[in-house]
Amino acid sequence: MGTAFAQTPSRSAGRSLAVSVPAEPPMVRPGEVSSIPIRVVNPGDAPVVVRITGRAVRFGDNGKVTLTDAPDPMWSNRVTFPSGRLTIPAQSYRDLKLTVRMPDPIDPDLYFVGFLVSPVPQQNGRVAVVNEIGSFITLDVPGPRVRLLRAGMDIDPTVIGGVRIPWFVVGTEAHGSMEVTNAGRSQVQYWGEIDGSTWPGGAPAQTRLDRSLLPIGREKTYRLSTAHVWLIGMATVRSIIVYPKVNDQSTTQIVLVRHVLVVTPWLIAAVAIAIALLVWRVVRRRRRRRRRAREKPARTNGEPRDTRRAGALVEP
Amino acid sequence: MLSISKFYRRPAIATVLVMAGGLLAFAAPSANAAALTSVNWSVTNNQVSATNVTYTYSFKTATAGTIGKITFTVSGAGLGGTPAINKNYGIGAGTVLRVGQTITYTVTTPVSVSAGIPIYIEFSALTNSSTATSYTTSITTQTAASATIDGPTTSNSVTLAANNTAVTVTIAKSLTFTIDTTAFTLALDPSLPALADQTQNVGLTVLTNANSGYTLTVSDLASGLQSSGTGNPTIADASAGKATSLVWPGGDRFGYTVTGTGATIDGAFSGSKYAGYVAAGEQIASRTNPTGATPDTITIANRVSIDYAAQAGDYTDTITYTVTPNYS
Repeated sequence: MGTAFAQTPSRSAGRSLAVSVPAEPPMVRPGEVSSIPIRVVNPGDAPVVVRITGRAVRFGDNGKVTLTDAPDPMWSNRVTFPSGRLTIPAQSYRDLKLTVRMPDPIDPDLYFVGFLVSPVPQQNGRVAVVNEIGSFITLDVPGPRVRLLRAGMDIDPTVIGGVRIPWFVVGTEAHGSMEVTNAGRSQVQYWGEIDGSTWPGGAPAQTRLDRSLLPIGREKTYRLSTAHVWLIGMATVRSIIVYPKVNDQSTTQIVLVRHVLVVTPWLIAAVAIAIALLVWRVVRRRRRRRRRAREKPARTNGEPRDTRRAGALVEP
Repeated sequence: MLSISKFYRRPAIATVLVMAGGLLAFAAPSANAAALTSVNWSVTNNQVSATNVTYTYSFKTATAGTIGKITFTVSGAGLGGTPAINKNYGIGAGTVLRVGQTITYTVTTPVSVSAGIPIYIEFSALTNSSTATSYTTSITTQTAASATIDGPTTSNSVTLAANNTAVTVTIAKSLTFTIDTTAFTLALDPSLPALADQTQNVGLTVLTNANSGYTLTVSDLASGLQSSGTGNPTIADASAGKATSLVWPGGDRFGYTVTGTGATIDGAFSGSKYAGYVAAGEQIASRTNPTGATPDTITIANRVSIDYAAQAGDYTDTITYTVTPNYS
């Protein structure tokens, strides 16, 4: 007799990790050596051992960030990361510094230093699971620079019989999108607003766009909708994108305005019913007139064509 | 003939009078300048002589007009710095200049602004006065020709002091990433279906205040789920990546599927489809706005199935989940 022991599946406890970076870009002048604070937090119940390594940052459209597998050559030998294994005690944190030596000369602009905080896996099982956090810090080299944004706005068109009608929408509100593109050679931080109004209607609604970063060559898309229309109205969307052009004392703006006639389906249905009633009434009136016209000559001749009715008429 | 002429003259005179009245009403706005409403002024640092202070003003227009300038006159003396425009809403792009106690915002292309429009302007890089006392700001909207439209209207008072505790709250850009499993072992046995096909869930949670959310990617070792036994046998991936995700194919396979709440899960995993891990990494979930206080939860179901074709031994791999906050 033997007993077969099947090894039961096992799993180890979890791990929590947080990384914080400055909300506003620190100002670093060309040639300056600056220490940028970052914080690694361990909200978990067991110590975590991490490593911090440099990575190149790649920006995509609509805020997407990816880190490459290798350090950014631009910062080679210019950024010092905390070295070795760093132990973060349970429910504690460590304030760390990245030391940056800015090149000189370097053009005034925003620059990005990417890094990866990786827990060192403790091999308690056959399949190790690692939770890494990628992040980046932004550095601002002060000075005048030329910024250039482009923007476009479109209202979702109504398509009737294959024809696109961008100024006419069936519904209670119109929808659309606005794209902002950085067409210049400097990173841009912009802000703005989308104002929607209807006529007839109340005061325009102001939706504010917070200060946002748009890297060179990247695009950000906003979905927008006009104010609610009651039965019928002319909706206007006015989008304004504001950004500093050369220095921070002066801004420039892009203003986009679209007007669209919004008609609710209820109104269209009511108009259709009214037209149908009108047509039916006109047709009925014409039929009556024709009938009367046919009957009139018959009566004047004294010989009605409808012998049955004629018979009825002569009945006492 | 004379009576007909009079008949036509009377409405013409009335029209001229109405137009003249209208012109007078628009020509002398200063005489009717109304007070701005909802006026508010705040500073990011109320210590005397503090530098790099941001002054924030918000108010609503009372009178419709083409605003060419807005002046902000701070009471007292000692205001310093070269202000920069941090944000402006409700008013067009412009230029800022400080002369003495007055900050002037000049609109580049003045346009008509209706009554009741909220205006918000932030000026950064200012230096507080060195005198500890209470200050107010007098705000006036003007045409490009400096004719007053609304105001001057006095704001709430702000006290600059040397002996108080300056409260500056800076909230860092932060992201918390938690996994409930740091390693797992699946004991597989081809003799029994229940032991030959097993799944281990790994729960992830993400919290971030990044305005544009985050991106979650996953990768594993280039060698995959591999044994160090003779010949380094591997258990093949369920697919070559998420682009070729599929319902569980059975046989000797290692793969994963993703479900979650809060985050947008990649469409490759809809309908309980599985994919194989790739060493280069693939995006599996994302979000385009901050999570707020409620974490996004993402569950990765790691599945391994074998039959007697799989060589006995210990197979290992390392799965890496990487979360990166998006820029904003």
